[in-house]
Amino acid sequence: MINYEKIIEIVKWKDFDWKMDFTGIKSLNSFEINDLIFYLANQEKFDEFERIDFSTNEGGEFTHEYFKKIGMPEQLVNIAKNVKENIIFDDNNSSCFFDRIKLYRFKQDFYGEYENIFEEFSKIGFSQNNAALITSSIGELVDNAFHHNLGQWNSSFGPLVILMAQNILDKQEINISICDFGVGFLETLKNNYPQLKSEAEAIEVAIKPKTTGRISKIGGNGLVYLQKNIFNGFSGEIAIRSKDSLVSVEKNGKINLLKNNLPFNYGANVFISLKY
Amino acid sequence: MKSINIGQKFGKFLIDRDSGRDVFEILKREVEAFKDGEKLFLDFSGVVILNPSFCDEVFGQLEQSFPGRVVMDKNANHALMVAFETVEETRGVKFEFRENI
Repeated sequence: MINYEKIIEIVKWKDFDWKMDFTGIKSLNSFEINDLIFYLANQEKFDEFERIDFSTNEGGEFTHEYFKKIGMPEQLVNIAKNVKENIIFDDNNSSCFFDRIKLYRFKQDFYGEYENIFEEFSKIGFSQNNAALITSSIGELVDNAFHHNLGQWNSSFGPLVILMAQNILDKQEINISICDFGVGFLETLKNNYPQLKSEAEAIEVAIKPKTTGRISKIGGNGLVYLQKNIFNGFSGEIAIRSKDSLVSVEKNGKINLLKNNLPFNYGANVFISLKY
Repeated sequence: MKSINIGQKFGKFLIDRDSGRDVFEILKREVEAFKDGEKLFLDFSGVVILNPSFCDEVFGQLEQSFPGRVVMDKNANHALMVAFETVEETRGVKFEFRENI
C-alpha cells in the first residue's frame, strides 16, 4: 500500500541544486505525493534553493521546473504545483481526482468545498449516501487538523492542510491523503494522556472512541467515524503518519507500525484507500 | 409532539462544531419551553451531510442535557445514521428513533 522505499531520496546536493532520483518509479500515490511535498518543504536549507530538478535516468531528465524564492507559503504552493504537474502517473491509468492539489490555510476554506467534493464522488458512481460518508470523513479530518494544531503550526508555513486524491481507474480505487504541517498526534494528546510515549502509541489511542485532545475533553469522533465508514462501508484501508512514524490501522482498531525514523519532525498525514 | 425539519431550518450540509453551538442553543430553547413530558421530533429529510462533530455538538448534547426529550427520525438516510452511531459511541448517549409524525 505505502512503500516508503519508493519515497524519493536526495542523491546529490550540488551547488544549490537538489537532484531527486525517480529511477524505476512510475507512480506515487496521494500519500506519497503529499509527503514528498512535505519533505521538500521541511528541508532546513530549502529557502536557499531556487531550482528543483526532477529527473530520471530513463530517457534523461523529463522535466525542469524553476521557481523563484518568494517566501512561504507561495513557495509551498509552487512545490505542490510542480509535483502535481511533473510526477508521472502510471501510464494513463490514474488521474488527479480533483483538478488540483488542494491547499487550505483556514478550515473555512474547506467548508466552501463540501458541495463540490460531494458532487465529484457522486459523478464517478458513488451513491448519495456513500458520497456523503466519504465527503464527511474527509471534512472531519480536515477539521481535526485545523483544530488540533491551532496556535501550534510550524512557524515557517503557518496553518496549512493539503488534500489530494487520486482515482485509479483500472482498480476502481480512490486514494486520499490529508496532510498537515502541525504538531503530530503525540503533542496533541499529551495533555489529556500524559502516559503516552511515542507517536505510534498516540495514534493507537487516537483511533479509539472517546479519545480527544480537546481541553474540554468532549469530542473524539473523527477517527472513529472514519473507521466505521472505511472498514464497514467500503472495505478500505487506512494508514497514518505522525511525525516520523507510519502505522496501518486494522479493522479491529489495532495498529501495525510500518516504519519509524522517517525524515519528518512535525505534521501528520492520513491515507485512505477505498474501492468503488 | 413538536416537529422541526432540520434541513429546512439549518441547511443540507451540517458540518462543523462551531456552527453546531449556535444550533444547539436554538434547539435548547425549544425544549426548555416544553411542558413536562413533551418531546421534540427532529426531521432530517433534506439533510445530505451530517458530520459527527456537528451531530455531537447539537444532538449529542441535546440528548445529554434533556434525556428522552428529543426524538430522531428513524428514516434518516444511512449516512446520517452513521453519524448518530458514532456519537452514541463517543458521548455515551442513546438516541430515540421513531417514524416521522
